[in-house]
Amino acid sequence: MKNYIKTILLLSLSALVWTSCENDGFYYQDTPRVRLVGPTIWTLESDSLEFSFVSYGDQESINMDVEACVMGTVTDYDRTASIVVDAEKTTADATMYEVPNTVTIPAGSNKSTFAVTLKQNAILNNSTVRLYIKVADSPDFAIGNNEENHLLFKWNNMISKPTNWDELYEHFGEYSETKYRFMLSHAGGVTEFSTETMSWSELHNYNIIFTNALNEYNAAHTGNPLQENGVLITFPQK
Amino acid sequence: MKNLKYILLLFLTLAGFSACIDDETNTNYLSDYDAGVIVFDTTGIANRLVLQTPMSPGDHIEFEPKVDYCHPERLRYRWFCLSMRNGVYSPEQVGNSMVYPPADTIATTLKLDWIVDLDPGTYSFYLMAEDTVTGMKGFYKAQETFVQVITKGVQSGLYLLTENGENTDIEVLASPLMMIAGDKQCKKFYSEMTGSTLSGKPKFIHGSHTGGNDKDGFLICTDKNLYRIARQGMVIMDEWKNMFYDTPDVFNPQMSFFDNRTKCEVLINDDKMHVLYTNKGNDRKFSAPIAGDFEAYPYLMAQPRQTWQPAAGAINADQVIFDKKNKRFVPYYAYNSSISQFKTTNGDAFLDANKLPGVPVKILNGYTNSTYAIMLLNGTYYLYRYNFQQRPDNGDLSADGANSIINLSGCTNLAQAKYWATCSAYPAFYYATDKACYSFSYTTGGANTSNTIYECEANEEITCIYASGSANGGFPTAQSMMWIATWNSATKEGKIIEYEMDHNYGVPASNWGPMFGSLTNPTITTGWQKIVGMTFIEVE
Repeated sequence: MKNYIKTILLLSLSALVWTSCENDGFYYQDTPRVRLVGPTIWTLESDSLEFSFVSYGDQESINMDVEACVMGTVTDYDRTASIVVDAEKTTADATMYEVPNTVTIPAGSNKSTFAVTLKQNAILNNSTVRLYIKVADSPDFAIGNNEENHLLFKWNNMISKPTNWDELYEHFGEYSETKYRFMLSHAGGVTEFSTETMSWSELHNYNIIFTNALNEYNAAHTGNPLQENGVLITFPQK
Repeated sequence: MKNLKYILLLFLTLAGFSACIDDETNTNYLSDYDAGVIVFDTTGIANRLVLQTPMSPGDHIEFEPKVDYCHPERLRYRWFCLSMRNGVYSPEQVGNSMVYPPADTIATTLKLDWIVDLDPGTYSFYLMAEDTVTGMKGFYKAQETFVQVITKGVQSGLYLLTENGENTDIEVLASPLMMIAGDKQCKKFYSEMTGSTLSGKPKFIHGSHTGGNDKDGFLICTDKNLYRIARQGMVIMDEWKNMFYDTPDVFNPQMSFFDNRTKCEVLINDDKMHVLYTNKGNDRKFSAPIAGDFEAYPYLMAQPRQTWQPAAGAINADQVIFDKKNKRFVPYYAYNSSISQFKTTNGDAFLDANKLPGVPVKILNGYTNSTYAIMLLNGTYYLYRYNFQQRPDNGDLSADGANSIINLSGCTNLAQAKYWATCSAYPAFYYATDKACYSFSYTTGGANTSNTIYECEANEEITCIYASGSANGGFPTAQSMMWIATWNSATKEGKIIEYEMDHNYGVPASNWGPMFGSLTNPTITTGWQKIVGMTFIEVE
């Protein structure tokens, strides 16, 4: 009898040891969940981003690529994550964005990319709007952890006269909002001009770029050259 | 026998525990430091770039990187360098085999305290640290590609752009007749100084700058790259890819000129005009294409503006270019973003600068900074002479009234001309076919015929001609020099025929030569590579 007890005890001990091994791994073992990761160049690895159409000229919209990343193991079948807009935390009109309701995570993959489209609107000239999207429960996935189960998009098209315009006058002439918008939309992503960080030659280079762009614009808009309140937009010739 | 059960179970238990131990190692990595990795760090070291910038024999180099290692007391050090060829560590012929040149040890201490004793060339520097107990090694490479060891000093004289195989070289000729340049022939000057050639076949060489106001460098164009090279040490300052704020899509440099009076450098690339002003804060980068509806001809004025005592009301453009698209000359004024236009041409003007009858065969800098346009009209060649300098834009930009159009029918083989040259201080212009070089001057009394300057020997062909002497040469022979470069296909060597020339009439003349020890006119030197371009920047 004693031997049987010993045997059972040892077997139990062995089983316990093996069980403990199962818990040693770092693998996520809970219910599959989805977390959202925004485009790093805009979110800087945070859960929100701020975007301005000012540097994008006449571009009507921009797509922000978002990754839906699976917490858990891959499967050999497609799975679907649900994305919803949180109306309470969203101020943008529904016509100003596009978000898919579902995202398919293909079989054998642990993530999928989908686009959130932010659109231009006249209201953006004077205000910033917000779009808050989050993961919703679905048959395949539960909601991710709090920090990464959502993304906040803020965007506008607002502009204001740079405080250093007096220093830029030599290169760009009189300030007008239309001129400055035109400059930013043809500056290749540059969002400010400065005599402290840019050489005379670099600012002169922008003068030439904007002059070329303005010539093209005016040639393409015969009879309707770029102007603001009836005043033609020009860049200084020295 | 029964004990076997317990022994088996005991092993099973131990095996289970050992599995757990293995799992633990998966998550407990050793740091690099604990693992014994030798790490080099140059962060914060003031002279950390000392091995990344060109150096010259005799320079004193001091540099000590930081080393992070768990047993620093066991490390031994070795600084060594590898000799590169054309920027690559490659094998060289030794006897019948190709072998990699051995590394050259220059120090055995962590701190490099070294007087440069290498021949000019390109090198790559390394520091090796080795644990004398475990044999663990770490290497620090001091530069991404290589560093140049260059000869100190500046060569003055005629810089020759030459073919070195499929690549480009620079050679230098100086003669007593050049006066300010000495008497020397620096064959394969660039390749021997730097240990490498310039990539691609040569296209042109022109005087340039290194970001300041002096003409102290060159723009050198090959069919693969455009280089800005300082004359001091022949250091490459910039290449095509970093010469612009926005590099043009099309690589097609056609002409450049740096006017060190106006401090304006112009580059014509793919019919577009780019500018760079050195008297303003600059990044040594060319601008975006100057705005305007034009296609630039590969011609630039040598001295478009008189900066000293300019004439009242003079045009004073920083450059005047020819617009192929609209067949007109157009001025470019200082610091502008667009080209401008000349005033409407008067009805009685002798020449119309705003509407030429065609695109010139060649445009040259002419007498007293006038502009020569060689025109081919109905099968006949003409010289159109314009003047855009030191005069007001008054609707007639012809240089010499009724004499501004000259018939060139008497010029021998003008239709076969491939090479051209002028001295903008005097009237003559020069042209050359493959086989002969000629001159023409309208001051010869109305004969309007050319002079034959040089005719090639057998197996010889002309590859380039050049005349020094803008209107501000500054020394006696500056305005009386001319060079003809030829290539002998049989001997595979280049030749330079150096003339003292009377640029007024376009004929050889010995006025200064006898005074300065150059008794023969012309003076001939041989043994050059194939010369395709020349410049003498003191008098460009």
